Amino acid sequence: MAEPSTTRKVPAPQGNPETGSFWDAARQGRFMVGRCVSTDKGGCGKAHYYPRSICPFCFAPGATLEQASGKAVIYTVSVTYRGAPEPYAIGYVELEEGPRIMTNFTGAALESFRIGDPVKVVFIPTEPDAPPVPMFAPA
Amino acid sequence: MSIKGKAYIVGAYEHPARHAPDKSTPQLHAESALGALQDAGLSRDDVDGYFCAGDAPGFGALSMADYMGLKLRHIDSTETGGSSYIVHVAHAAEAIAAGRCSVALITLAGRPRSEPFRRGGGVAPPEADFETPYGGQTSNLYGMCAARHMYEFGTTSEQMAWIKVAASHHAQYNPHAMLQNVVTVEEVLASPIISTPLHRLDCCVVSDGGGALIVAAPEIARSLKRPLVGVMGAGEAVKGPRGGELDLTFSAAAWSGPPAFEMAGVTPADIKYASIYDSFTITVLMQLEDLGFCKKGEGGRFVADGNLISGVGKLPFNTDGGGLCNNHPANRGGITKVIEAVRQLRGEAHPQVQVPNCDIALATGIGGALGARHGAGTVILEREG
Repeated sequence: MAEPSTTRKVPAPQGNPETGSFWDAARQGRFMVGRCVSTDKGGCGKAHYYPRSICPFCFAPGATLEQASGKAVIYTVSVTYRGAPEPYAIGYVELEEGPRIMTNFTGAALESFRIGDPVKVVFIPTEPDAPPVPMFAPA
Repeated sequence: MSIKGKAYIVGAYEHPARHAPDKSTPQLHAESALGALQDAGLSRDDVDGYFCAGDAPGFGALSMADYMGLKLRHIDSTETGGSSYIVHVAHAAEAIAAGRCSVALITLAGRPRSEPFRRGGGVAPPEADFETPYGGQTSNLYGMCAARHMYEFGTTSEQMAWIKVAASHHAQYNPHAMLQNVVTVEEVLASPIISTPLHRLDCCVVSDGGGALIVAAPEIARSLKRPLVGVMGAGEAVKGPRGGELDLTFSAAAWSGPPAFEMAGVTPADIKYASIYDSFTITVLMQLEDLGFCKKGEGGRFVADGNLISGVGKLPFNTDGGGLCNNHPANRGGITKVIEAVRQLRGEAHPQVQVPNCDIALATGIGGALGARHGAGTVILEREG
């Protein structure tokens, strides 16, 4: 059974004017999701990911970031053995706030992650001076 | 506007190369175009519409149109990955029906075995920072779909392996196929894991090569000496994670198929032969469900026990060996899907895999990544006369 990936080089996020505040929060260890404005302000109030300024569900402007609980459940997982210097586990998790998001799994043997397992967010370093990226580990 | 009966596929050509270290990619496009024109009995100067996608070198259609010396009144460089060329058949039929062109050329070519893949420059896509760090690559973007399908519906690796087995039964009769040996379920399962749960033999081949199609107006098609293969119906769709509303249990074929069947006025039971894009075995399984050949979740049982083998099962598929065994030029399999459907409708498939009285066929494809953003195209074709 493969061991958790600790040395795989994770590309650094580049950021842009729309997502800079998401990555600023990540540097502080806070995991954010996008949140649409409430229905009384013309939006749908739903959480989305990756964050946008205009809601992808109802297209209302003015979406903001809010801190997520970091709790999630594994929706799918695939352990990749070829095409990379070392194996890694990629998947989607369903956040407590609703959105299903792409991620890697860490903190346990790669083959031990199962659909339906509870997981929690952890931040993994990328490159010096660049923000870390959210991944998920056993809860 | 319905395109039913408004256009015909009059030329189809699959480049025989599977490894082309001594040819350029534009050359493979042009050789494919020449082959399709000769097949149709038309000349380069008859072409007034040109369709290509991201495999075409240069800026949209401009470089290849110039390289081939085309004089055009209609161009379309719609890019939906490997499904582009199925979408192009529909767009060509629409353009012909609207009077925007009368002879449309569609080309695909590339050399993934002979030259490294070059990513385009320009602005990073919006999802890049939220996906690139996680190492999404073709194999795991399909592996994740297979894993969820197995979890939801009890689909097994043995069932998926049957898709490769069926393709290999067809490929044994294709002298150009990269993999001509018949394989067993056990051999698929014994091949190395690429990304769980997909084995190496769940994956398509990597091949150089290309292909081309000619779509023409009815009066031109009837003036030629080839069997009439008409476009009956078409649909296209895109699907992605869409802000987190991800559902990996179905593909965009669930949206591209119904309008194609409705326009054609037929049902899945009427389809005598199906070209189903087979980047991976799971790609076929999900599209079969999404197009209504079986119920959602029953794809595994549907493909088992040789049900996709010509002369054996209920739904002969990919009788050239498909992407799984024959050819996946430029890492894009859409054009070869249409080409084999045309062969079947003309009665020009290999005699060992030719479907008797093949009068209605379907070609469908998924381009991009099934586990993220992808485009689907479906066309239903009919032999007239």
